[in-house]
Amino acid sequence: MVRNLSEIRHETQAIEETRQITNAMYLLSTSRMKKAMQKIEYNQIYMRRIRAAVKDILRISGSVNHTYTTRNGKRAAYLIISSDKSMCGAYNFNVVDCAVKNITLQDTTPYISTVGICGTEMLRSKGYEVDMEWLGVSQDPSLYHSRMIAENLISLYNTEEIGEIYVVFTRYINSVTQKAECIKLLPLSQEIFSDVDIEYDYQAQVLYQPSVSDVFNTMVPQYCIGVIYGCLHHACASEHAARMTSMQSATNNADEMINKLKFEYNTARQSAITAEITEIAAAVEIFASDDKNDKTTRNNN
Amino acid sequence: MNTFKLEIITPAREFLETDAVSLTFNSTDGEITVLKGHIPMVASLGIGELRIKDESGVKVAFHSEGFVEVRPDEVLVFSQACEWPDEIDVSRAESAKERALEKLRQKQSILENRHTQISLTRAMVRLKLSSKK
Repeated sequence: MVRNLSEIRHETQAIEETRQITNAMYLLSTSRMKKAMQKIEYNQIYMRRIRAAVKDILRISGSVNHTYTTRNGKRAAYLIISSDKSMCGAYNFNVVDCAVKNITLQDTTPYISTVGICGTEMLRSKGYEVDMEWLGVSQDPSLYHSRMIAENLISLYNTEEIGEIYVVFTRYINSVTQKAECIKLLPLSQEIFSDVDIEYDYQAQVLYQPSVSDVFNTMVPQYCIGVIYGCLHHACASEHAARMTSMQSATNNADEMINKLKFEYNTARQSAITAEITEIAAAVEIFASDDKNDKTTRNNN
Repeated sequence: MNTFKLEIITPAREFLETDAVSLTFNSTDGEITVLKGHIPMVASLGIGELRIKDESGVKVAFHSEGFVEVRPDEVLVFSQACEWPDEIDVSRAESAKERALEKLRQKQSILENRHTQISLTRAMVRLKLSSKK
């Protein structure tokens, strides 16, 4: 059925306005992603080095029995990093899915700490109780934020309220692929670092200043802060990349819809014109025949 | 000159990579200086100033908490934050100091008190370094 002209015009306008918004968001997330990318590039070096260093230290001090290398508390803690804003495709779903999959493996109630409103709400609707919420972090993660988050988790770990810490975040691989991952933060074990190469093979005894347990007491929280900082940045870049692709496809879809509507509008306009011409032609014919009739009747008179 | 490879790494940026003659830092137990041929060591890093001596002279920088790994082939410094004296934001440090002093006057838990003391130390060291330049 051919629709009304003004109706189509109205719909086109609405889609054009939405297209402008999605296009603007696309451009915005492109520039934000580039910014986040630069930070990741360097952070990757840091992560690699610090993990290698901690692995080395852990390996040479293999016999050390410390709170950070043994599980004491019962509950497991999950730090789930999602976004504060929506409109980024399946980004938040993937993170929450990955978190839920890992949480269900535990037999105790988990301690859930979240970054980002979207993920928090999704977890709540799934029936999980969120113990700690960090707001306004995911947009622009800073060292200060990661320090706060790490300190909160570590103090709970030290009081044996929790026995394990996991971080669920989206790893940025490149602008088209991001992968939701769950990594174990504490307690430290050799398995966590199985993907790291040994940087230096110590032969001699290593000196700990001031003592082994003191070194672990300061080193491990530092390591956690570093890893959380890295994860936050990976999540931030992934969020922008996900938003970029979803906004780009939204813009493309809008373009397609506009083209279709334009075609429909032209068809409708054409048929309207045709109808008008037919009407006029018909009217002219009637008038012409009326004229003839008039003349014949006059002649008859 | 007897030099060793020195790398100072922070989460936000690669601070310095150089061949150094000596490195002095503030561990949680006081100042430690590392020269070439130091035995392997892992030390926890407090807040204080880094003094790096290399061929061009002595450089001074601010360092925050972290740890130092001394290997036979190189020295790695992992710190939360490192800044050259001219990069220090004086007004920010000033206000952080005020904030910390104000907090110390109020009643706090042991943990809070420790945090405030740490931020106060951070601010004081930053101010001290920036006034030196």
